[in-house]
Amino acid sequence: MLSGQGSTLFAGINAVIGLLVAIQLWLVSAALEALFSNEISAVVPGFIASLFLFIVNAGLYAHGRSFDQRRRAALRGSKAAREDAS
Amino acid sequence: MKSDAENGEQKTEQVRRWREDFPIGTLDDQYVARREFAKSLTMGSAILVLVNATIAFVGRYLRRPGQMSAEVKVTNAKQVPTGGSVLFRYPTDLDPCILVRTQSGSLRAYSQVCTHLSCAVVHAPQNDEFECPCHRGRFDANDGRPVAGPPSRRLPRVWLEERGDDVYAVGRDS
Repeated sequence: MLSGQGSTLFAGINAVIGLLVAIQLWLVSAALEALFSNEISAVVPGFIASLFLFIVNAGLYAHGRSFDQRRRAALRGSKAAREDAS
Repeated sequence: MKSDAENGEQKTEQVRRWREDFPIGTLDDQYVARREFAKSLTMGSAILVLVNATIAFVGRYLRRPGQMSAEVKVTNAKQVPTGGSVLFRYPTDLDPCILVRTQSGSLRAYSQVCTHLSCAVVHAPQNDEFECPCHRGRFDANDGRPVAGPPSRRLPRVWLEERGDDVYAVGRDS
């Protein structure tokens, strides 16, 4: 994968995580609204949905981070190879 | 006496020491990489899960359905026909409430204060609903749920107990 593609991928991951966090914020406000209006049946599904979104977020972050580390290691390797050749 | 060159070298040396002590510039210090941004978002996501878990825990285990207060006799059940209503105040004289007999024949009581902007709701027996005359908000008479208009929260329910023909208010949702 090219460096530019990796950068785009990471930006995309950031955008998706940001979107999911915004949905989680909405879930918190909806759960509070449900709590104050005694719609108790809605608060537990809200928690489960929020937990699911967090797991997706953590997975995306871990994927982006491992990808970034692999790319950095590859860059270091190619730089060292160039220095050895010169 | 030192020459200009020596003074210059000493100055450079001082600058170098300063840079060693503070090697990161202000702009670099404030720079947030995309990795750090993603990490912060993920941490925020975890915090939001904890907030949601707290809300779920409070709602599920700590919140009682109705706050118990002194019992008040509301009316005689026989005096309320289907579609009829009785106004009363509970738990204090500053809390107007309304008791109705729904089309299914059961007695229900709610706070009369609209959850939108606190106007007094009135019973609309033909639809089995309460209607707020201020902004045309409507609530279902069976569970107090908002069904139309601007209100988004249900009417607080007043819990009733029938003893013989008498109906008592025994608790109220907040």
